[in-house]
Amino acid sequence: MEDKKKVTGIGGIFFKCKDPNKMKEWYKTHLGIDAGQYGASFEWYQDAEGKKKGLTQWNLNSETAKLYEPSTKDFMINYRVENLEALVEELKKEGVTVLDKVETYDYGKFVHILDAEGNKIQLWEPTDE
Amino acid sequence: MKKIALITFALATSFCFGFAFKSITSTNSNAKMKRVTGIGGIFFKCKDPKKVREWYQTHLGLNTNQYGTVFEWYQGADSTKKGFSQWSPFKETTKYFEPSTKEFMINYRVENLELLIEELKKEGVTITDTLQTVDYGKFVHIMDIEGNKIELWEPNDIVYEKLGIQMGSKTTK
Repeated sequence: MEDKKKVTGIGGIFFKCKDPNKMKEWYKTHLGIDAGQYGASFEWYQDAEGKKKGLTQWNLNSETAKLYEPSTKDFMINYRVENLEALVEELKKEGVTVLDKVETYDYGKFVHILDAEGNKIQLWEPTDE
Repeated sequence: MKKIALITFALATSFCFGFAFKSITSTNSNAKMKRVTGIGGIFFKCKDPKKVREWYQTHLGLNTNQYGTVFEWYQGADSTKKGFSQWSPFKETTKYFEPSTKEFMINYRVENLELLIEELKKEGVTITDTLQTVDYGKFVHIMDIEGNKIELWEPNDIVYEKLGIQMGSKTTK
């Protein structure tokens, strides 16, 4: 159980803005971040051999986005985890607020929790391929 | 004929002044210039940073120290090189995010910060301070169009890693 892995990296950063399209234009022009409808992906590797890719997603949402609820904050962080289902069980035992059920998509499994100060956290067990 | 003459004249003039072609070349290279290459950090305000760090350590396994944690990964452009992203909760009263009033600030990793600052100035982007050079890289702060303060970092990852080891800190990976 020691050195048990939980979060292994940042899976994404999302923040609210008044005009996502205008903002995406600005970030593309001035910072070279080319974001489509779902944002931009920063690519890196999990290993020095360059065999396993990792992605950190960056995206902007409108101020009315329901994705961040019940958090009232203007940002949300996605953390990459290993073995999400076991982690969710453990978090429940530890009394952490788990907001929804594990959802499975092609690109991985997701669940949302709240931290000690009401920040909504997205946990992602990625399928990197 | 008149058109050709004009073009010839323009070309000749350009050669005489010697800068027209230079400016075209530099525009092209700047268009291709790499700007942001990755996420260098995410900082957010909270009521009690110490408690928040402990919560993330206990429940999500982040290896925290007094500054937060450092996420370790390998660079997309060259997997033999490590890359790092800093994660830090800040006190609500921090002045670090000013003049932004937002609850978060993002640090972006860039290449050739000095050249980028020159470009951003030409493009009319608000730069809130001057370039700071420290052992682990170069920093500057700018504002986006909606009042989010942005930290730009040209990292020295080797020194950054050494500093963490000297502090006895473990990265999160």
